[in-house]
Amino acid sequence: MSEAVAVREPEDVITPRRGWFDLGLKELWRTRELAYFFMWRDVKVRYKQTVIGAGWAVISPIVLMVVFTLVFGKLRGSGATTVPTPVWYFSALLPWSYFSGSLQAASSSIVSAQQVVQKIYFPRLILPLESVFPGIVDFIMSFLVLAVLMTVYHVPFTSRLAIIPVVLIFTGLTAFAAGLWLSATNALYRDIREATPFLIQILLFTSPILLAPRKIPPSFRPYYALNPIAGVIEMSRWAVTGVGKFPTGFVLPGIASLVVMIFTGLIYFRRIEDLIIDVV
Amino acid sequence: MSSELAIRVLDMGKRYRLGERQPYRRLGESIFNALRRPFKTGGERTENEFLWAIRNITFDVTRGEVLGVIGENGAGKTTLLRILAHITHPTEGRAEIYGKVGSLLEVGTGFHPELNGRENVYLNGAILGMSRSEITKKYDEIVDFAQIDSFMETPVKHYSTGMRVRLAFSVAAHLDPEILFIDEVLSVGDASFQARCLKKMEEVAGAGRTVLFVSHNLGAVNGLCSRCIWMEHGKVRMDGDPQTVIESYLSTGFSSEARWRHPDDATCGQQVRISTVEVIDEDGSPDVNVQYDQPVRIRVRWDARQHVEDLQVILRITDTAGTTILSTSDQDSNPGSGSWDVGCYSYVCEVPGPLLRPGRYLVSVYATSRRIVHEEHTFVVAFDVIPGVARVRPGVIVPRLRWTLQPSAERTLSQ
Repeated sequence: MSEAVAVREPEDVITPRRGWFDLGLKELWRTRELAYFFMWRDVKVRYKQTVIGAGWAVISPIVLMVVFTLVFGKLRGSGATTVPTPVWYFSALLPWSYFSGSLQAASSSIVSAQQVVQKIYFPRLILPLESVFPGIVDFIMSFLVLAVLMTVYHVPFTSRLAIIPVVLIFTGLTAFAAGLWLSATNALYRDIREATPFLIQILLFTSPILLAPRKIPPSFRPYYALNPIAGVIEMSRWAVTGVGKFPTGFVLPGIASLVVMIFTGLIYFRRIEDLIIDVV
Repeated sequence: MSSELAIRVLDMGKRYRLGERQPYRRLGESIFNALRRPFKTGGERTENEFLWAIRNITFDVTRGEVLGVIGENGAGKTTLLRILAHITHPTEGRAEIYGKVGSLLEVGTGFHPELNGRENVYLNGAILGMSRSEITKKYDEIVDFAQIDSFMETPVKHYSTGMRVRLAFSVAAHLDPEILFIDEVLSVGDASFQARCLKKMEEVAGAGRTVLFVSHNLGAVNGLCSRCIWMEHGKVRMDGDPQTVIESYLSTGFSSEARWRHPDDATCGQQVRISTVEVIDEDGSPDVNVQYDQPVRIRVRWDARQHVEDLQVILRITDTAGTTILSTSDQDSNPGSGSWDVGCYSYVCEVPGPLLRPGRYLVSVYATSRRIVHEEHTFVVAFDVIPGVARVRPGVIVPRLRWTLQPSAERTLSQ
């Protein structure tokens, strides 16, 4: 048998473990095209075989808005703002419905791709990451509905609306961060599948969607704002309604906890990724 | 002579925790276990709780080599391939890969039923590691090879199984990596398509690419590979020239197993599944030793999981050199009986005795419909024909034939 020699560096070395902080981001960048294809598939397939089609994207926030206005409108608290109730709610539901949809998709992303994951290798990080993109389409459509609402209720369009893309990115990142934790854990323990809708419900009722943030005791606010969704919602409201000061007190703790969530989430995901494949 | 290295595997091992391959765990159970045995952590488990799927595997593959990996189910072939393809991590050892890798562990992975053929070509190609421009460049070739150009705008959910497989293989066959891992993909599609797949693979192999090919199809391994590894119980049992390795595998690889069961983890036919194949004696119990003048009874149990049409159950008997001695189909006795409702069925096929020369024989089993191969299991059981008391005559086959005395009307004894 001939003696084989390596004339170049190996393209790839397979070893039992990798370092703690090797997050695989370089690899992720290399395979971005695949992420794009998954995204494109999800957008294309999403509303096939439905009657209303993409209409579903806006129905849920609209229905929630109507229910909230009718049922909770009186509880909103008087004074402070002159903002029409539907606009007030819808401005919060705009990022919320994007968040909840994406979180659901992200948390089940690995389990629903298990067949592929077992047979072909690609950075699995793609899965929770790409699941937060298709919702952008819904977000944009909801925004159009919001614009109609604003016109109907004579809420002026201000330059503050320029921050909406930031709201979108912030929301997507939050869904991604939570999705990292949930998707990996879901592959190991299907309990997560049961728990996710429940978790989303709890977040819905504890976020400042129904709740006027003024009602939260100031000393408790920094802790409350550790939920990044609180900052996002306040930011969206600030931009849409055009009243009040920028909610720095909500946004800064939110950004801080978001950074921590993403970083720890990436490490956790990488740690657990290998285990997942033997278990899914 | 020295040649360029493509793959180097060094002392590779993969260990599974027993029970870890359950579908998934329940959070409650894990917490409960942790509470019950709070000090029992990873490092303290006994060796008994682990199963080494492969261990101490070391080999080099040089550029341009086509390496076949054979072995029984559970020998660790697929685990090895899964590690090399990056799907799972080894527990110990390392592997170095020199070149761009493409892996084909299953045909049609990631096809989406709602997308049409064209869209799935792009999606599947991307999953297999092709870039968009590469796919665009090869798109026509891919469609040509699959021969379903008129259906490219139809959602894949309306495709027949055969069409889906053809399209999927076609995408995979046009991958252009330097190193290609292939696992058992040829056992799909109809016969003519299989032949084209084999030809395509020969092309790939001929183009100087390195191929690692895991298969039960020994004929294909023999025909395609330049070298062969035989794995047994997670170790390399033999490594060398395909012909030699296959011959020793066939002559010693089968202990006195008269019975074969469908492995649970194997992918099986959607419509038809062959559950057991066994060589039995008169009373129906498994027996590998058949007297030379007695018939060989082979029992095949199979399930129709859906209603099937045109089904044929085929048995092939091969000697240890891989030569087919005979093949037979259930149509021999019941022509036109290919329609079956859902249920479990059992056939006994009898090869009359004396017919086969004393020696060892291997049985392969197939279930096919007109266009689809449902199940294909090569060399599932072996049996020995033993000489017994009767004297064995010379000849490749040793039947007793009928001799008829003709009335001698035309000819008279010479005077």
